[in-house]
Amino acid sequence: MIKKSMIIGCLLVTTGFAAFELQTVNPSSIALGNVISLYPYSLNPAAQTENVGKFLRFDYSRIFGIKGLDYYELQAGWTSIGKRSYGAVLRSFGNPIYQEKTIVFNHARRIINVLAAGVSLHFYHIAISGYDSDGTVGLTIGAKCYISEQLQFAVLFQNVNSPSLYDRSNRLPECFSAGLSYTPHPRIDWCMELFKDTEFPFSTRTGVRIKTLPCLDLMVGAQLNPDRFTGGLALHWKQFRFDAALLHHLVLPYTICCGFGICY
Amino acid sequence: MLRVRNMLLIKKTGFLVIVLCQTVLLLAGVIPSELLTLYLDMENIPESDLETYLEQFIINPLQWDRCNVTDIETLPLRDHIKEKLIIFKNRNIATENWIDFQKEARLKDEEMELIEFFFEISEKRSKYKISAMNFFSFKTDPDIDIHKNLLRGKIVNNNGGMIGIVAERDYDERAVWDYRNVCLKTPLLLDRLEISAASFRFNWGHGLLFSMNGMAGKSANFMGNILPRSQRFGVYMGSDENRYLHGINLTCRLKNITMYSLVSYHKLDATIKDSVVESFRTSGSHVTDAEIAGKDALSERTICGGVLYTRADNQWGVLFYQSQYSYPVAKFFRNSGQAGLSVYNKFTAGSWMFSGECALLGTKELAFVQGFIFSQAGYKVGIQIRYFSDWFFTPLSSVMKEYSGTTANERALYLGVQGKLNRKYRLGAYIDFFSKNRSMEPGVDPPRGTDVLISLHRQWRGNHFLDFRYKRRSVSQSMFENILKNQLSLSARYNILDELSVSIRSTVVKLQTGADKNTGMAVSVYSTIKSHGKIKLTAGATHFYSTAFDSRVYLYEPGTPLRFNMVSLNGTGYRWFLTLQKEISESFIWITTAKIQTKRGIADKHFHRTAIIEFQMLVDL
Repeated sequence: MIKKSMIIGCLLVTTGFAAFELQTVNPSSIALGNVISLYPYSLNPAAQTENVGKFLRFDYSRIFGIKGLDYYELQAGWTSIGKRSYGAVLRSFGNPIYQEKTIVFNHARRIINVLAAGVSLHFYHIAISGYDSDGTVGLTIGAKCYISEQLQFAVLFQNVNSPSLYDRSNRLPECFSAGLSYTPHPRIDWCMELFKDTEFPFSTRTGVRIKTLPCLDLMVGAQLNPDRFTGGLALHWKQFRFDAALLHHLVLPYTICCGFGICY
Repeated sequence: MLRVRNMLLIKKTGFLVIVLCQTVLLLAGVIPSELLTLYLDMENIPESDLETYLEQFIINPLQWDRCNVTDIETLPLRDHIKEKLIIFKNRNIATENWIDFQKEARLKDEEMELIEFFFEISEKRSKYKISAMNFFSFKTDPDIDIHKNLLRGKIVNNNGGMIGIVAERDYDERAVWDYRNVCLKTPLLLDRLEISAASFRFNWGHGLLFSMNGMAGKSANFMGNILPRSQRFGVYMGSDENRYLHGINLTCRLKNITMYSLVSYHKLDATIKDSVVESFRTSGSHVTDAEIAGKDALSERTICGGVLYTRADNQWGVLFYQSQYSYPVAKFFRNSGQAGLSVYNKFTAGSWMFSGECALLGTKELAFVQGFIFSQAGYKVGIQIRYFSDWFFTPLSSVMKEYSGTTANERALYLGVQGKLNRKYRLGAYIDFFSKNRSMEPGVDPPRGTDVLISLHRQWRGNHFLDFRYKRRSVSQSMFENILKNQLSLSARYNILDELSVSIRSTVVKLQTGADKNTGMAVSVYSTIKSHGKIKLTAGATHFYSTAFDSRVYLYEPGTPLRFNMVSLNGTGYRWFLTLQKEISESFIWITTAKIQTKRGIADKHFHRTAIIEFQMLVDL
């Protein structure tokens, strides 16, 4: 019975997601309307240069609250004083029947004061019970431009080498995102992103972060096509940081994401 | 089998010839396309026509000493560049070299690169100037093959005489240089006579009968749409294989009077059935048996004479022409020949400028355009009315029209405004109300519609810019076929450093045809890096999604200079592009462009990948 429910669960997800469709569950990104190109700990390696020193972070989510669709993400990285960053990420999604695992190595550098660029190498591995497992390598490149203290622009190209699984029959998502963030007030960040997966129409995403207290940020966001509403909070105390986010789906149950990190 | 072998041999030989020429051939700078006023919506305009449009400005640049403010206004350049040129022109300062020109006109390096294409100054230089361009591209769809080759060269002497050649091979054509052409121009004789021979084009009035540019679409540059271009013959080195004249022309300038005359004998591509011309073939492609059979099948003999009276900035002129064809062109002219008369005017009165042309074909067909522009305090407002009778058609005409096709059948009112809101913002807008005179379908109202364009341009001190354009098009074709199209375009560039810039372009199209609704969208991000070693690298990507072919998106893409890189995007997918430009010496530029596209139709299952590699060499000795 449990096996059957898991298969149904997987099928439910695959109607919405192809393999490795879901590439991060970082709560801050989710809370800001799934904006992935602009902020650290998400997918753009160039944004990691904003960190100072070393960091370690763990995020977890159970997608749509469905048992067996658990997503774990462990990140570690280091950014030098010269704004060179190195990082590694381990991701695991699925259950004993369907498993997606990703190992990521990334490197980024602040080339000049106003421009950072980075690259990530992803090792994708998929295992489906009763079938052969398969793996492939994907290359992701990103850049972030600090136009002014208030205005920032970022671009991210995922899987630019067109990786595929199972004899090229399953292409992994090749995505493009271009984001813009604006800080009209020291306590308010607004961001917007245009996201495109080769297979699907453009999706617009937007979010606002309000720094209500010195240790508390509140975030709210939305994405169009498909329509989603998100919200979340970030608590930070000394080197520690705790994030949580809630994603609303029009049909399926809510998804809760939470994570904990330390930066030292 | 033998034919296939021969074709392969021809292709291989052709390739060798091209590579050999590549090593021998020797031009000039590179067009920074972002400073041009590019056409926004090209539904009815092929890319090749846009190339021809630019070619004619470049091949026949304006003489700075002789041109006037109106000539500058009609160029497809950004307003801020034209403004600098007009201020400089009004100061009447003589310059003998481009360095002084740039200094006096206060033009930036990037702007200057562009200006040198559009103008000639009486520069003290060596006796001869040799310029050449060789372009060829490979394509991998379905097999690797030479996609296109274009070779163009000219030798200009100090006195203005020139000789030029052009040769081209289109995709899959059997002959190496299927199209070849030559043009000649003598130096100014007796201080009043200009003669050119072989292939040429003629600019007269607003282009009702003759035009140098192969097209005239509505653009954001409304002044260019309403004002006439200078009246003159221009040598032809374009890649359009049909729409030009071939013979000899003479221009004689006597104080305020200029006389024009031409004699032309030209073989055109046409489909002839039962000794009657069924259609003109203007694609220039000679691949299929029918296309090859139609090559040079129709001969055209043309004579023409005209006189223009000029006083200050005012002009009045009259022109007569007659063309005779080797077969009856009944479908278009109702007989085997055509005769026409044109009357042209342009005059100014204070802040008002009037310009128009009226043309009569035979005794029945009439067309006219008449417009005026009012300028005051940095703002310009213009109105133009146009009328084309049902069967008005001339092969070399190029005038702003809504309905393309062989017969005109159109009337319209065009209103435009442009102005500088302040130092940073420029606004431009037009509205065009158009209609056919009558419907060719019985019981159906004549199609009619409205085009609206609003553009806003913001410029920053560091040469960064942001350009917004909104276009709305509404066409009522019949009771159940109303079309409403909304299009929003954005273009921005941020210069991170003098040598490094990042640009973004995006267009969103929403189309409603009857009850059907479709959308299209494309975004392109690219970056340009210039190094001190005179290397320029542009790389970027375009992503697109369009639910139907009708909602396809046209987006400018950086690529090989002098080629018009406006790509048509439909389905879903992405494109990567990379252009490397290397200036080997002051007079030698090598450009390589690679483009890869991965795309599938919305209803298709699989993606299809194509690649194009282009090489271009520009030499200026």
